[in-house]
Amino acid sequence: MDRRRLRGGHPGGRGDMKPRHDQILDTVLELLRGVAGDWEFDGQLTSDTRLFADLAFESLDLVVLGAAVQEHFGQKFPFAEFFADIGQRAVRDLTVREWVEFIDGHLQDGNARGLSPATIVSEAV
Amino acid sequence: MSRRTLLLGLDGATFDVLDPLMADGVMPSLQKLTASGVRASLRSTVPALTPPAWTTLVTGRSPGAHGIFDFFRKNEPAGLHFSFLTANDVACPPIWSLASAAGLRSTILNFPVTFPSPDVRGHVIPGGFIPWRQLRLGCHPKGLFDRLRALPRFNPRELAHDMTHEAKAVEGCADEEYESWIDMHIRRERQWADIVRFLHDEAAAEFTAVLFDGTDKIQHLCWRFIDPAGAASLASPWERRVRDKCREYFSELDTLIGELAALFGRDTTIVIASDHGFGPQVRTFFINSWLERMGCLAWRDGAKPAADGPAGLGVRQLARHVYQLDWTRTRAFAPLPSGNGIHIVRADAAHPAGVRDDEYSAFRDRLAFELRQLRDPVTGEPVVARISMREDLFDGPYMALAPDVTLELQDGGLVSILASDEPVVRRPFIAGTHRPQGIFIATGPELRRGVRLDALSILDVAPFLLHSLDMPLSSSLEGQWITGAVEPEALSSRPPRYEDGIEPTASASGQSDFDAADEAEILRRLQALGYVE
Repeated sequence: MDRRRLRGGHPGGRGDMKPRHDQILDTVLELLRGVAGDWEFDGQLTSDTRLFADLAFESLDLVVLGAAVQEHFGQKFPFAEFFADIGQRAVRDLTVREWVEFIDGHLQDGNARGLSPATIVSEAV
Repeated sequence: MSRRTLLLGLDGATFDVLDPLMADGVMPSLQKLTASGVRASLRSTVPALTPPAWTTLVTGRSPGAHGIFDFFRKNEPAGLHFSFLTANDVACPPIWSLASAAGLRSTILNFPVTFPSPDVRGHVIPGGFIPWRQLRLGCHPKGLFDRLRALPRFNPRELAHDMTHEAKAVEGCADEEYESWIDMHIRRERQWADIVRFLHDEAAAEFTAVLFDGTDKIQHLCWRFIDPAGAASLASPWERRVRDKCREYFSELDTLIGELAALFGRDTTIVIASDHGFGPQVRTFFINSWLERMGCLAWRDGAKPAADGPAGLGVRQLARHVYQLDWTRTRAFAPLPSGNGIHIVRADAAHPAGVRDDEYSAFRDRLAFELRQLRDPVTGEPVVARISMREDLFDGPYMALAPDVTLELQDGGLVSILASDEPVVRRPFIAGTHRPQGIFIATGPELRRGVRLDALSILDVAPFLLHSLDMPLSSSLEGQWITGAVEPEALSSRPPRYEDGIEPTASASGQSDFDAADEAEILRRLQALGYVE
């Protein structure tokens, strides 16, 4: 994954209008495909792919992938709440589709909030 | 004129272990570097924990200022959810960002809270809790990860975080796994050294920093084999083999230190530092069970997380509290197994049983009082050594997100957030845990030789490194420049230059190498990085 893409070079990245659902799906799949080769994963990555059962994710993978998604879209998402919800499921897993729906549901329209330290300081006071 | 500077981080290193290893000839390179420079114990942050301590070391600011108290931080003052801290959460510029703004290149390897990697001049491979599967995402600049594939020993699965390996440090492993687990750490340190050499040979940076973290992991799991005081009690062949394997790890680390010191040469200032020290942990304090016994915490029916062994310190418990605690009856809880922090639930519509504003101080004082009464059931010793309120430790813009109460345990240990019938339990075997006193060793062309300094603060390291890089020192730095480390001639010929914030001011010598245009350019770059409005 191109770091500059993580920082907003992809459609729907920081500063763009809110992307469509299919664009978010493309972004997430590209993110996963960008790293899946390093795991020697040779299966199909689709919206039905389960992150834990199919990709053998650990919870920390999801946390860090969430940080990468935040970096891409330039805004914070309520991942902690999302992960806590997953923890309560009978089957603790998550499909790419659910991941994308979560992002879509919380993605702000246009001018996404920057994540610079100075911004965070000013907002935390 | 910048001076090349190499920071070798040894996570959790303590002179209590290193001095005997140096004396026994296991670490001759470290002994040579120590003899040719200055040394001091280095007082860590509270809590003495990797993310706040290293962030303090590389920013020269305390946790209240940079906002990193733990691996995770509460999202909102009244919230229950905690988020993984990233580089975007560090509110003060680390050395590499300042160096980059001044036009210097840095190589930053394996430091915590560096993901997503800062956009510095040079190279970054993030450390901390970055899973090997995501390592590519954190490598800076683009293409670095693929370039590393040229290294014969490059193996991302062992270089970065793999929970199946990491959890063993605090959760333990089968006897037959110890030696192979230590071997994995030896291979990991060799990989980091390979990367330093590779990047140095490509284009040497003015500032190179690499963190070797096997020291922390191995001391956690293998303290009883490493502790010089316990060496005589290792009777079985297996125990002696593990002890020898631990010594092999330190010997290999020493070889790498020696090779890197030789690679960078005598003109380089070399700093070897740790974020905290290490020592034995003899008991486990199940803090949430104690809060339950105090009537401050209640589990939901059937949700009590039984301790899976007395250690129970892994990271897998995160977020459990949200759905395992009964929030209609919980007034205080410890959500994280790492920072020894208690969060107090404040009364609001969602938490009517929470602590009201007018009773907050009394409630907190009562907690502190009761914690001071807590005794080890076997020895009768106090369990808690020190209790700090959040305004004592985390005063600053993030204080409302910090634990209300932070404990330092008598044995230096970390609490367990699981449940237990007894809140304080003796451990079946002694594990290693963090201690406040880390190490500082520095050698270089301007530094004194064979000198032991009084104890330093971890806040003092950043000013030292910045000056080593010939950069001005901001007045926002909270530590002291280490005057006693420097030869008198060097002190007079190149004293530290101070600046007020980032505004250009007359330096101590009146001979600043940075003119107004330079300072304006630094300001512009820091603004671009988001550190200055």
